[in-house]
Amino acid sequence: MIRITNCFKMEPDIDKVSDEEWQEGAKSGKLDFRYLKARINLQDESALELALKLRDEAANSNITCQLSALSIGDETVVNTLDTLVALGFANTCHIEGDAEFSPNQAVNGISKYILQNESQDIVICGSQSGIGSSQTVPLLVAEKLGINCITNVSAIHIVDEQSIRVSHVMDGFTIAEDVILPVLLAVGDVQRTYLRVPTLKDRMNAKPLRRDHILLEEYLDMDKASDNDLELQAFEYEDVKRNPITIDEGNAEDSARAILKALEQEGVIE
Amino acid sequence: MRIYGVINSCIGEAYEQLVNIASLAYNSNIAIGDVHIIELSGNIEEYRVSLALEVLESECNNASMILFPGSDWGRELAIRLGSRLGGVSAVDIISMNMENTSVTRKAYAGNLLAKYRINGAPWCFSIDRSVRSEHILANDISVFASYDTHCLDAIKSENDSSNKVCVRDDTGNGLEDADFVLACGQGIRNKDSFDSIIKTGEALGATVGASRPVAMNAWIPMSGMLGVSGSMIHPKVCIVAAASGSPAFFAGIEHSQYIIAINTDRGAPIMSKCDLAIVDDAREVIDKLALLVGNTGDI
Repeated sequence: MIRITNCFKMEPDIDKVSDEEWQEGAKSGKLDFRYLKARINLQDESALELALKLRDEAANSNITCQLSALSIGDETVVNTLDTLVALGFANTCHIEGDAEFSPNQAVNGISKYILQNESQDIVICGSQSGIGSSQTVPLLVAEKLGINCITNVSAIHIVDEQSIRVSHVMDGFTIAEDVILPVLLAVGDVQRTYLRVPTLKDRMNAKPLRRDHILLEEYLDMDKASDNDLELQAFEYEDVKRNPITIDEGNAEDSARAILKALEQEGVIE
Repeated sequence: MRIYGVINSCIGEAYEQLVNIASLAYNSNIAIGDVHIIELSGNIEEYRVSLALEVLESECNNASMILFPGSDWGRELAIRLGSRLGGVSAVDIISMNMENTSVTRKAYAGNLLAKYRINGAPWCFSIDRSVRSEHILANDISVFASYDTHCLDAIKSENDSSNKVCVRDDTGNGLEDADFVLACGQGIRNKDSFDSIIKTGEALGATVGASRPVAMNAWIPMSGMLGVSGSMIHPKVCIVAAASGSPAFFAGIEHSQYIIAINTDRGAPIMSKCDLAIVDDAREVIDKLALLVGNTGDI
């Protein structure tokens, strides 16, 4: 059996926030996006779907995969955990708390939970959050667990029960290699890996082996190493506006003429 | 303060990496002559993170600060080395203030800058790709305090992987060298429309790129993606067609000399970040533009 744990997070859909709200939020230091719809972090979503694809592929080789899902966050996590159970995740864990701008807390929470339970062959997650974007959590979890880590993963395939073939991207190269388990995979941008949708029958038949709910504060490390960290001080809004000329005639040909004139002036077209 | 800069000639151009490091040093009032350079060399097929970390843990055990250039390999080594040395790590640093020991980096998908105080040492930072000081000249990078090369191929170690194949990706379809770019967003609506606009754009003489949602839908290869996770371009002209202009995307095109945005939404962020904003349907305008250019016989 190959044991796989997916770590994911829910994030507010900040694409909907206006420039004015960002400006105001940075000035006041108050950024509360609880009114926005929560969605799975895009790279975490790819990681979830890749794990499901790996499970399906492994089944074709008569290899069983046990999937577990873990998330640090508030109550918005729960619906997604239910969805994952319907998709066949055997175990779930909700670590309740906010570690967004405290990556060390996220690292401690994830690592301790995994170390306290059955050892995992694959830990898989997105490379970075869309909020803090520290990109540190997967790598530091790998360091804490003492396992190999591969970043910017774009594909995974079964080799046998002890190894998988991983494709990953590094600065203009795509590298494919067979990797011995255990390993932590940090998934990057992967085309067309949206999480599948469970059927009503899947949901009705869903029955996890285990559901854990823990408070993040129970997992905080008080040793000296955790004091070495970046401490968030303030936000700043950077105005990159250019004061454009705006054309709003509703006439495509006039619009095109204005663009042609600009291209000629910039020397791109003679 | 003992400061190191690490470059990796297995992966990428050494000169560009040195300029990135020198630029952050310059901007932070650190003398370039105080920075010791460690070069990791060898073949990409033999490159192993574990070997690189072994070398750096040994060479940098007395370091106050270790800087890595903006790159995938640099981010990984900065974080893992910081952990192994018991220090503080961070990636994509835009600026550093030595007086109040703070760093600034992007947050909320580039919508804001976040300022952090650094607690602990040593500091292991990777630098944002965009950090490049116009004050750094070619001569400046020859005055580093020292320059040591370590060939990773020569070091024997236990292999935790096998059957390794490395393929160089199509380098952004020439986006980073293009003078004229057409950048398309999700407002193009579907793959057929997108394929059509690519043909029109190329007929105009533009190199075509796209926003992250378009690339993730596989309407274009990942090498055509623009933004913090893709290509960062500096053409004479960039036409942004049907893309809202999120900060992560805009970071890829902000160094364009002249930006033209076409969008049906007058309030889209890109419409205030460009030089010429056209409120119209991008597909129709680009088609008309191609006809006009065709009529003047310029393509």
